[in-house]
Amino acid sequence: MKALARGLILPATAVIGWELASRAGVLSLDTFSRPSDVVVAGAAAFVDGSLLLATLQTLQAAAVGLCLAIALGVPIGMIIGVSAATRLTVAPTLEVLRPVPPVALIPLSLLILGFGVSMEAAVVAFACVWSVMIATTAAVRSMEGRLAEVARALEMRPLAYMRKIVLPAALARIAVGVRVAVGIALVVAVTVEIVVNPRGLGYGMIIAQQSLRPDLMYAQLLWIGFVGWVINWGLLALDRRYLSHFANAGRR
Amino acid sequence: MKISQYLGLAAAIVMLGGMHSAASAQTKVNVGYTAAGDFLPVFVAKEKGYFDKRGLDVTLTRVALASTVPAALMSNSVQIGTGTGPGLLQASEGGLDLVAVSGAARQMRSNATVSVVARKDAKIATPADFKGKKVGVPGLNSVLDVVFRKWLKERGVAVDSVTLVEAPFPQMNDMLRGGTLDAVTVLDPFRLKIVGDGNGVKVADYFSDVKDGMLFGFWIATRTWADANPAAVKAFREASAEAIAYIKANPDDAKTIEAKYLGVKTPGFASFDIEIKPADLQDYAAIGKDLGLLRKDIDAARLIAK
Repeated sequence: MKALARGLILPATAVIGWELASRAGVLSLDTFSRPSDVVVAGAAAFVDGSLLLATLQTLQAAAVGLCLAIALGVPIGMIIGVSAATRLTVAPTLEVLRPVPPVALIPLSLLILGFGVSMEAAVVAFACVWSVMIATTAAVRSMEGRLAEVARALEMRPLAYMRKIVLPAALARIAVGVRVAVGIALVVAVTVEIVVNPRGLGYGMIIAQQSLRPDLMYAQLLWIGFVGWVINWGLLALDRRYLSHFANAGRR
Repeated sequence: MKISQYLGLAAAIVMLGGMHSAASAQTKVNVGYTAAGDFLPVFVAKEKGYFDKRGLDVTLTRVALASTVPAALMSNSVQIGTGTGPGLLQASEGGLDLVAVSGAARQMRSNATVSVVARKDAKIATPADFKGKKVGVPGLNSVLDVVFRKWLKERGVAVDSVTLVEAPFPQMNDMLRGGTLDAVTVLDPFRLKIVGDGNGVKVADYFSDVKDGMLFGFWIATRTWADANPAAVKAFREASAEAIAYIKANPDDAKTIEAKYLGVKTPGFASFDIEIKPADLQDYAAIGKDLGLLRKDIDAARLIAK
């Protein structure tokens, strides 16, 4: 409790200082708005449902993109991890694609997919697939060598080997890759909305700015920060509850 | 069921579907617009049902950046979008087959909504004063930028002696006040805000200086869509014309509609005109060639939907 109070000193001082400065006319209202106005604008957007709708739209695109990234990243990562021949064939191509900034794909995906959830999800998937794939490959490659020997001794078919041995052994580390990807997904989704896609929180923010409504813009900015914080908090909780247990069990 | 029965059922479903679409013969049109008062007639036509009664089921989507409209048209997520002269000409030279379907507004000397506005203490009063100065434009090669360069050139100021910087409209006011920029090319409502706040003074209504009555915003579509939907193009123009008459008769109500779509109210109205002539695009083609932005000659008449 005491720690919480201490942690609040800085933001509370900043907000009060901001409010006082704008009331005294030191800060321009067009640029900085006023904390009280921001709260009112945020509450209004919350009550009329627009903020919630935008949040769902952003989360939907981020989630679809993330699922795509997992659906592609995990199998590809597993194959690359298991088979040296595939790795040598595919790796150069992947290494060329990987540094392409996801944001640079926005015009292309707009041209192909148009406005909407699919183009946003496509850019998110491109941004997220790498961390999932790399985590998977690394996990598979660092797998206990004896597990492969067991599979050989049992004369397992490749698919069964992947499903029964490789995936369970790599799961904990794949989850770490997915966790990194979750953070990227939200950032990229909001970016796509700010740049082109007319839906979600990023779009709401840019439209508020263009409509000369800095109060609403700040409210949305704070809300995006809050949503990001909640997601991160949820992931940490999941991590503590399941993954750390998983990872330790694997290590023993 | 036998296969023939399945086929019969499928045929019945298809026929039912056909009947349904015949009963509601509204053409669905997604319209992408950028935030400018020039496009008010279309908002009014939507609100007053002028599209509906002509068989157009119009959905309006606000697009944050004008430069994304061509890509949105090509992907068919919008069928009609806002365009400008330089945008249309550069896109068609780049191989995107777009056409103008309807005019929106013109820049008149008597009713300019675009100006170049200088910071109060930047000491800019004449075109020559822009030499060595930093001027914000909403986008390089945007219509505001291109016509401003033409304006400078016509007045004997070398275009490369002025530094042109991209600056989004909402940030121009702050960038002027902060001294990052010496002047901005800006349209309403941002222009009025900057001048009203006392951060800038108007130097010139440079569009009407270049040519009084110059075409400003208009509506574009892909040629494929416009060719396939001539009735929709006609209905779009007619509905806009009816809306312009409504705006003249009911300015207060029109302002309320504007506020709903743009989030802000502007004091006056743009000079609406749904007419668009080859000569209008020829003006922009001449400017583009003069500034070295366009290489080929264009057939302006071909860029306007019939």
